[in-house]
Amino acid sequence: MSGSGGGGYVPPQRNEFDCETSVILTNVSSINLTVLAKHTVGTVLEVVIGENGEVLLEDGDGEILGAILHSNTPDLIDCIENGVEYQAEIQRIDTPTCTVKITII
Amino acid sequence: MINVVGGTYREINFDDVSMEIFGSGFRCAKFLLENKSSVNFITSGNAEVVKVLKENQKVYPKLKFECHPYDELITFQYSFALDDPSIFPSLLNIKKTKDWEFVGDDLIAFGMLESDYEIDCKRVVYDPQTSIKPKRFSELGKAQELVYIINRNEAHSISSSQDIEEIKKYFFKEENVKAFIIKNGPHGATLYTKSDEHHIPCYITNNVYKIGSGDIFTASFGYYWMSKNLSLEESALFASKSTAVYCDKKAYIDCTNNFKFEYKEFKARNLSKKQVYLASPFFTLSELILVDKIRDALLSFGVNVFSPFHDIGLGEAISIAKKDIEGIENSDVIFAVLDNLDSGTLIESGFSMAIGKTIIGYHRTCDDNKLLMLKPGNFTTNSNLTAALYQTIWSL
Repeated sequence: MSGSGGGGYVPPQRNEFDCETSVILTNVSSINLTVLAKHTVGTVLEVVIGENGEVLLEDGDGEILGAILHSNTPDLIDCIENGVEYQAEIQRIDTPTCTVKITII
Repeated sequence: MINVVGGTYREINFDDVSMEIFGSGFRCAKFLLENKSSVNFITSGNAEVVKVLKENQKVYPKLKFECHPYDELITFQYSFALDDPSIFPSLLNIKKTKDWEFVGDDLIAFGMLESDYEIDCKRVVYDPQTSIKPKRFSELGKAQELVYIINRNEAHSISSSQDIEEIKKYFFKEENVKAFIIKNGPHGATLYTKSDEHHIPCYITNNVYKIGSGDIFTASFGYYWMSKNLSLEESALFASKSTAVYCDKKAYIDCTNNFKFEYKEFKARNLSKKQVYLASPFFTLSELILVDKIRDALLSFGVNVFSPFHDIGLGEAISIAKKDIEGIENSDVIFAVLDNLDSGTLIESGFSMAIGKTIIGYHRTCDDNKLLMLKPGNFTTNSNLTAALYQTIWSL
């Protein structure tokens, strides 16, 4: 019964991530500003797993723009390890902040 | 290496519809790591917190962490950043971890809801994080050099005084601080040393990502003082700049590194002589709750607020309308809640425009074309309530 105590109100929880349909909109962490300067809104980057198992964004020249640290990053890694491929499109640049949208290819 | 003690919490903000895992301790660690510092982070948390920290460790190899086991991921839920958050579990139901000790050199320490700790360090920056019974550093341990960073309420609560001379005496004699900083929202902050006082300005930004801005001030102050060996005054001045960049861009920036800093200082005026007219519908329950919260947030800046719902109330329509018009004429700026395009709010806005008043509009759902007729006036809108409220204060 609502309002009767017990467990009480539960705040919204983390979204369940679906490999096929979920989208991540986030700012890039550990950004390389030299690489960022070469890109504009609309640029599409490859989403790759780095040497330490981190999620990185790589441009067409093989340069790393930065990393993705989002609450769904572990889910994204699981999906990539299961063969799903993703891309990241630059949505907004307000240097030094860059926002990307990650979607399935 | 800078050691950081503090919480890792989930933060939900309805104003920008966001849900992130940060908390003061982890946000501080993030600032330091983005600026290439080595960090030893001590926190408490459940398996989800450990997972987040491990993901961060992959990106930031200079991160070491120790996570004391805790059953919950404590959640702070904000309607908007100037409102008091709801905390889950509630403060009464938060269980405590085992107490722990930390011994080291440089430490940035934040008060935590779920953990009590003891400290023995050389240099400490301490931010108690709550004005409800904040813990005094002298209860936590020892430091050879201690800097407190607090807001006015925390200063009053810790020193049991409202008088600045008594507060200074308390912090220098009883807490044995090297310095303390009292933050005062848009008015900036004051750094108190034994011999001096320095005003630290606040800057006007386009966006106001307020949640975590205090954490960034403390983190960056610690970074400038401990990592870059700047003076206390320089550290506080640069910390205010780093905080401005964070508020505007959510970026973690060392402002000594040739960063193009373009924000103007907010020159604090006497807000107690200024008045904001709060134009808003108040028919549905949600509208009533919102208008009450907006009024409360504006009052907390020290400005006067004329809110028809609060200051005139219900009554005969013509006399209410006349009092509303007087209220607008006597106000310096109009804050208009435009969602649902209430006819009364639009008439208030139109009249305000006709007599040359500044209008700050807030809405999340209006089609821009519907507000076309207000655009020739001194009229701006924002879809973020916190930013709209700060813009109102900065316009005075």
